[in-house]
Amino acid sequence: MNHAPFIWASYAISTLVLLWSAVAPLISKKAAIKNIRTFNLAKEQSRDADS
Amino acid sequence: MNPDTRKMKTDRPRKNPLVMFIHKLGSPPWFYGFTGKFVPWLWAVFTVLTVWGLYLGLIKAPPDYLQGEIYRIMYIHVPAAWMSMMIYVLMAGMGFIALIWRIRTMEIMAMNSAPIGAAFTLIALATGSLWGRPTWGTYWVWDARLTSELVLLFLYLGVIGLFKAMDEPRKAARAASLLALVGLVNLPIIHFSVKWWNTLHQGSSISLTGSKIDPSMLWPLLIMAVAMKFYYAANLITRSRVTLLQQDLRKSWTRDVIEDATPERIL
Amino acid sequence: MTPTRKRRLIAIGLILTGVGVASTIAFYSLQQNLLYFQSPSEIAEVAMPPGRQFRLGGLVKPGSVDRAKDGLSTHFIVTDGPAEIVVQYVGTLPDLFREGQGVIARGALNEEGMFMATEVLAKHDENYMPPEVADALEKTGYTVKNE
Repeated sequence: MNHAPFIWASYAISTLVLLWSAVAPLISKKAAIKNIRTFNLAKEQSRDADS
Repeated sequence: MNPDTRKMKTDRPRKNPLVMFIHKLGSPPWFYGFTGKFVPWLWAVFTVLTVWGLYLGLIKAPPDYLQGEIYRIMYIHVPAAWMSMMIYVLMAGMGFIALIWRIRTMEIMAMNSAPIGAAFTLIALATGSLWGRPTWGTYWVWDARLTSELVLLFLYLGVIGLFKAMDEPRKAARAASLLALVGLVNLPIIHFSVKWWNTLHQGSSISLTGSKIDPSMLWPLLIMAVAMKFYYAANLITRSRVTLLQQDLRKSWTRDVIEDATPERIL
Repeated sequence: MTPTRKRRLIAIGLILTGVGVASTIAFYSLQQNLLYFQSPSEIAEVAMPPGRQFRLGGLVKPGSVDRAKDGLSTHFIVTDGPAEIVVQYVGTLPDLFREGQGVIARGALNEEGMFMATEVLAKHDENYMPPEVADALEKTGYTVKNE
């Protein structure tokens, strides 16, 4: 049996899983920062409207 | 108020440095700022060690006398399997601290360990399966080692699921931490399964008393194992900082952190 | 430690003790079912009836492998030292199937006490070394098989 495909598949799967696990929080970080900005913008606007 | 606690409060400035450090880690803005400084270094060390370990393991190390080249899967399989167990113990430990002292950053770190641990468990199972087909002659068997490792994956998924199912994140973290603590019974089973029962999976090659792997093949394995620990540290801190930003959306410190930071510092 | 924290600690301690006791009991009652295979000595001891399915594990006795002329069926002896069983298997053997190496076969004994295997898996041991090292060890008479 040719073993090379098994070795390559092992390392490919591992790379994909580790890469995804590392990148996923960066995507949610972008969203979190956007949410904080939106929230503070809304707060400032309501304060301006009050004065 | 209990007289003991009153005494403790007045004594606070004289506490030892370690206790002070733990107290500071418990403060979200301080945690965010402190960890942000060394996260890039953790990633850098991980990258260097991984490149070095893979070079030694996949290119420099000799083939095995019996298995030939297929044994090279061990350089990812074994570190991943070790990590799957180590992260579980750390998750349960941090969950324990969170349950008793209700430190929010501990709750967050315990919960963010779960997806990383699940990723390593998945890698250990998948690469083990790909090694098993050519060597054993089968992708999967229900022996004690393989089954208990699969149970570990379900424990991780259970912790993640329970945490996500509850609305209040702090209560959810504590409930999931309790589940993680209960699941600890599976860990000695995974580790000793190959000793206690007849299994298809071979016994441990590396123990405290020595190794049954030739030194030329052992070094890359140890380097990869250390590299994966850096991966966990870097990934855990990255995830925990994001969770703090999500949870403290309405607090002023998150706004300050974002507005003060240069774009590179944020990412 | 404050009283609240002590109370939480005791509660968690009780839960964990309960789980620990329950799993220890489960562990001892399930012990037999968790054995993935049985050795030839264990089979001889329980006087396994013919036709009952089980997994047989042990080492392939050196010099016992006999491949039939049709190239499909193989005979070999599985031993654990004190006892041995003759196995017949029809099909392709895994790459790591070698004389002196561990195997796990699934099947049943026939009336003559021969094990009719439907599946043969190679069991690997925990030793890893380069071919040169294995050769050198072989020359000094040290055997790398340790089961």
